[in-house]
Amino acid sequence: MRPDPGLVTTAGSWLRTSGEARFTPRFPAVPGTEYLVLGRPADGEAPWRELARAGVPTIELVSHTVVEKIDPGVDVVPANLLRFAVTFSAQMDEGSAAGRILLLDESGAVMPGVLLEMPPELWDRDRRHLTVLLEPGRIKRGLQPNLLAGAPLREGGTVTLAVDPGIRDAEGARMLEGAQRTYRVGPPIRSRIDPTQWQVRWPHAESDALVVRFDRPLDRALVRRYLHVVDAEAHEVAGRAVLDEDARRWVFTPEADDRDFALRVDVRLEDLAGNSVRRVFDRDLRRSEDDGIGGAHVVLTPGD
Amino acid sequence: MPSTATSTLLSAGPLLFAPELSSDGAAVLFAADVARATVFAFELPPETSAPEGAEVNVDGLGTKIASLLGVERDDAVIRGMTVHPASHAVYLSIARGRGAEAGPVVVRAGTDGGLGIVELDDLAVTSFQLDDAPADDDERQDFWLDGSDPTSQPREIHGVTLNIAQVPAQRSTVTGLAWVDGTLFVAGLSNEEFTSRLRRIAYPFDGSATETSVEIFHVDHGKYETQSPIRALTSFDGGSSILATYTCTPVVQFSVDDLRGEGLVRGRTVAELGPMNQPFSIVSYDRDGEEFLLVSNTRHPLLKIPAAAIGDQVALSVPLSDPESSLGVPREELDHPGVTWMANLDRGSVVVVQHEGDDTSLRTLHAEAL
Repeated sequence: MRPDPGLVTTAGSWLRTSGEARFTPRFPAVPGTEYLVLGRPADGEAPWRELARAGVPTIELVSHTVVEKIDPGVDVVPANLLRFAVTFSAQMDEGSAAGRILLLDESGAVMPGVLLEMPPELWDRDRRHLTVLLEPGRIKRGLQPNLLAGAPLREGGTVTLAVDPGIRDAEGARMLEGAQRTYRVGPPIRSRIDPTQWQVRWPHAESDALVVRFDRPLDRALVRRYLHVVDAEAHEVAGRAVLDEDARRWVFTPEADDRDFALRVDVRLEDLAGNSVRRVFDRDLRRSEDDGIGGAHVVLTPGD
Repeated sequence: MPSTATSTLLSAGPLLFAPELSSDGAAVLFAADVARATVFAFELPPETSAPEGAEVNVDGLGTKIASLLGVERDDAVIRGMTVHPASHAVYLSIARGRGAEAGPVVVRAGTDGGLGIVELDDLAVTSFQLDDAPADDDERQDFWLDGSDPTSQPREIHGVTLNIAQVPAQRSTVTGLAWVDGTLFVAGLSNEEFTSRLRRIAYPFDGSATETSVEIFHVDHGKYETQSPIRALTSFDGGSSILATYTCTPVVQFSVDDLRGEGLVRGRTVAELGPMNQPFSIVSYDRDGEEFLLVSNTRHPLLKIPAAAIGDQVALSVPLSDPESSLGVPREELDHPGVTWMANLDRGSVVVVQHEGDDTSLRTLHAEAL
């Protein structure tokens, strides 16, 4: 680094006393950054000259963060899979994930252009859960990225989602180690989620739980948000819910003894390929079965 | 819900000035705080109007911002840009630092080329929260007993200790802000649903907002219909139409009148970007009495589209990539490489952030060069 008259001075304030000038930066100094102190005579004509050089010591950050989970939690993903999700053991920094989550092919080579570029990084509010979208233009039939570069996943192959340990946690430290998960690629899923196709075992005795087996693996986060048990007045029933690792089986045990309830499915619930109850991810206008449905909910009752 | 903010931004995101000044000359700066899924509206004191023909040009922008903020160049990243309606100063939203030292800063680049920090803390501010944020003492009706979730915590219920997982809180990320027809439009992605909802928020914030789902037809023989999050948008044709770029890359027109928050709105695809590319920024400008739209991309050249051709165009039925296509909107690729962020200086000029060598610059591009 050399003094350059075009450079902008660092924001902060100077306090000058006899024989001393003290600089207080406007923003906290970042470890590992080097600063130059330049000066020139008061007439302002002479060139700037380096007076001192101050480095902020680098802090040795302790790596402790690991990946706790990679979703989907299935072994076989549809060829039109829309998203992965990575759960970290600690709160993460926003802005370091770009280029550090990669999809690898069978040979371990990076598959370029298959994941949606970051930013934006799709963190949850706690910044421990990062959603990684596959490039939707590559998945959707008929779009230029799909026509020119093909679908991102090939049925019958395998892909590996790899998380590079260079992603930083909220303290700025690299991760303790990276992580990866390999999937086989199955056939695409191109139909709406149809809750009437679910196998529902309604409880009969007080000790029974409600057991729902979906027609396909669903998106874990959206099952939590959009699947509710409601009573006769449409109020949500409190209880304990367990979603299996592969997001296909959901067991709900109500707190109270009353078993007179219904299952309310928000039409925004999505599967692994982004198909919702309301609509197919990319709807083929020639297929009437692809037509979307209206309304905000589908309600399943024991009489169905 | 609207509220008076008690603290300033936690994270850097898109910026936008409301085009109209108040009677005393104050301007309203909208700043998206991605971490809190909130849009803040800061009231800025009056600034001196720019003289006729004033431009904003800054060489070595990346280096200068880093020096101003006291960080290495990689630790100062532009996350948003807008132009002050009176002074024509460029306001840049910057993510500064990393890890524990990370934080947002708004930097002002004046028509004299000088850079300064915009002190937001002392300004009057209101805010609008995009998601229903869970309260700290949120007592959910559903407990999640999820052994597969590593975030689960032991919790005692009715004398029995169970492993309870917290439902991760949804968060919307803001990718674009636009002022259309007197209201603020907010485009973005959710970390959960792959949704196309476009929010239209009244300002001053009164808690009201409408959301519309904008469906689009694919151009491949009109076979497919889809939804996708909007990446960036701008109004044109006197505020009656919107041109939006989508995450799955089509550039789509729809009518402002249709955005009533009821049912679905269908947009018309007027152009498509190719693979390995994402739309970045979109603006409208006038040249020789005609209106044009500019779309910047992460990898492809600047795309220029005449507004009149969009209105005249019938629904697309053949791929736009087909050179024989007679139905596609005429469009032109401009030779201004490396342009990312764009904002109108006025109707006849656009300020852009442009990559040059290993640095960036701010450049004012006049309509004659576009």
